[in-house]
Amino acid sequence: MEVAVDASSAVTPTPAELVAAALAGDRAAFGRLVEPSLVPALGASILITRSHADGHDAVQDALLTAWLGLDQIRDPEAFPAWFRTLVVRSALRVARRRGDVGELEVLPGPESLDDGLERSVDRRLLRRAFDRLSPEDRGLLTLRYLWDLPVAETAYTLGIVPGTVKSRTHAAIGRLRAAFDAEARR
Amino acid sequence: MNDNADFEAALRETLPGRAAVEEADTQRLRASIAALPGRRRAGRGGALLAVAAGIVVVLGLGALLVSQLPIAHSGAAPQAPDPAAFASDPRLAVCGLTSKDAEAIFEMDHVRDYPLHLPAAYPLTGLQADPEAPALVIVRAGPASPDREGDSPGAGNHDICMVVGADASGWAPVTILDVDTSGPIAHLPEPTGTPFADALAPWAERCGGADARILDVYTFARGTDSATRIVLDPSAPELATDEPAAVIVYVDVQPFAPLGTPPADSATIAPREPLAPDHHDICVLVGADPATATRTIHEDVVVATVAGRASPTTESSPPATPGVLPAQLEPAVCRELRYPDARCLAIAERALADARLAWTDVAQVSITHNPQGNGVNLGGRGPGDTVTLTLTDGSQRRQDVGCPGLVAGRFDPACSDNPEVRLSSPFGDGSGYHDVPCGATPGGDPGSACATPMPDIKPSAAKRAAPLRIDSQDIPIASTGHLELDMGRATVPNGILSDARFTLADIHTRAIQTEDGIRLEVRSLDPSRPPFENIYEHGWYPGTEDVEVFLVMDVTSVTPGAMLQVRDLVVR
Repeated sequence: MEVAVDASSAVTPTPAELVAAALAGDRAAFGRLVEPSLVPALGASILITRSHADGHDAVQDALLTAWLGLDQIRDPEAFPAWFRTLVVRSALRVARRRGDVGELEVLPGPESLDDGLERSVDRRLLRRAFDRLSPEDRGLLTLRYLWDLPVAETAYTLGIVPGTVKSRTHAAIGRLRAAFDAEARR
Repeated sequence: MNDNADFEAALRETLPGRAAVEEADTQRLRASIAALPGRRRAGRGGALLAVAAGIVVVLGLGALLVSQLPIAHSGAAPQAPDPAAFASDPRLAVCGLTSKDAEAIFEMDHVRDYPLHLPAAYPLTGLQADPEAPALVIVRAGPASPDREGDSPGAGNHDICMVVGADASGWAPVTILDVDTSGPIAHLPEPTGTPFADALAPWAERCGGADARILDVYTFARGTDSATRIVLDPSAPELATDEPAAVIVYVDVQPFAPLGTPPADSATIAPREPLAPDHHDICVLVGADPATATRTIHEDVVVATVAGRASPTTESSPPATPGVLPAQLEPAVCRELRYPDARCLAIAERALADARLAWTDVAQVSITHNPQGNGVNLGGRGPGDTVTLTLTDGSQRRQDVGCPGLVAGRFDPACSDNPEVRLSSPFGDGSGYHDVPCGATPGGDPGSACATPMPDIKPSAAKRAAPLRIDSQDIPIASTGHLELDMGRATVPNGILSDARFTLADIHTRAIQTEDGIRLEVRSLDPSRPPFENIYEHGWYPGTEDVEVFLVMDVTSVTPGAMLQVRDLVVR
């Protein structure tokens, strides 16, 4: 029997209520649970996989894993962090398996036309340089600079210790600089 | 940008734009949530009454695989056919039913496919049926089965009668009670398109099809040939055969009912965890005909390539010659780096070339990852590898072999396990056939001169134009050196080239190796006309322009019997 989430109620369901409803098979409740995370999840997944299609697939995989593994979650309040972990790991798997074959999409960013031409060129080079990084580097930098996750949360998401987050971030930035310089020389 | 702080600030500014998502994308995700399979309910494993004689118990249940089923991109679950369509099917009588007793009736090619048709029913503990046999599934509509013990099926559940067997003499009914029938049920989701070449598709279909997340398909003239291409750990003993065989490597876990024994409490089965890197489930087929080949599935196998790896779009290529590494380069070096032998060799040869040495000058070659890689095997990305050459006089030289980014690296055998052949054309390599030669951004710097916009193609010229299209052509290549292959002629309207591209049947082919890939060139038959390198530089002309199309390459090595398999060549 499904536990209906009363949409007419003025009280917003708590995460615990949504998780309970979703565990009972209520897809709408699950949808409400993941809704705040969908856009950031998809954006990060696209960055990590360098492809809209692969990023979408990775998030779909994460949704299915979350739906079927929801009974593993101990604290419903921690759902966003848990789901974020599933998304990142799914995107990394997809990116690793795609290997060298990837779309190098050069999407226009929200650059102001008032920006100097040199700044605009820098951003384009930076995007291309970012795409040249390994999936692991892209994943790490996405967590740190797109989602602005603190070290501890980044470590949890990637399954590594906090000290490693710092050293890997430093190294990834170094590789990004090298790729940026290589792009600038083209 | 002079320091990391600048980079970090620029990253924070740049990444959000790069990660921009459109509303249509999120709508698709919301639609996929609505199409999620039903969750299993604790304690409702489904009771079973098996009524059959001489049927093999095969379906092992070790882990939940539903989590690995791909969500159909189309979203909504397909509809089952009208049960009345089966009104005259004699199998209904085997179950003591008519079509009016059914809410849904559908066929399964094999009993083992039931998780794909009834994902929410997985696992059917104790299901006893020949997994390879076809079956007709009758989802009962109303009253409980006479075999039922206890209450009627729960909400959303149904009792099922499954008639197993290919012919009437072997039909046997299997009753399954209280089955959650939500999910795809009658039809499997339409595949989004097979990524496999026609010759490989039947093998892939036998192992789950295009939606089964297949990574690679290998076919071998003999099962024993597989050892020259792939190394499986644990090995697949059925490959020790002279019969033809195929090995299908899944991206991760296989899509069918899993192997092993069911746990005591089916309600607590956890989704099967993704496999470790380089671990895959595989499907082994032995036999000449994929439709009848013996099929065995192995779970959690380490799959490593010996030399190169065929992509799913390729025909089976000849097995690699064993002993590809020279004596100075130990295979163990490559194993430790997790590189295929071909890549390992390419790295060593690059180092030798950079050091201006020959193999006869060195006694030993060792390769390590660049220490700046944090000791993490990034597969050679980023800084690259360091090659230590121990010369015959005992001295040592160190050479760094770098892989400058994935754009160049994907074509480089030293930077990729499966390098692509670089294909270029006026259109196909981003060379900017339509680049507006003024400024760095569309619209250009207002202060600089821009090319005059091109006139349109005139209808009269378009009528007289004749494109060159070659769907498929195999060209034997027997020699090295500079080659220009005349592919034919086309007539281009007003000198405007609209398309010029081609591909190969196998963009990873190692049979023909070139200096810098293969280039499609379009040359005007009028020697006074500029080359087709940029639309503005070539210009517009009244009438039509006849052109000749060439594939140009500098071949550095070729294996005996090599064929250049040109596909989808278009010039218009």
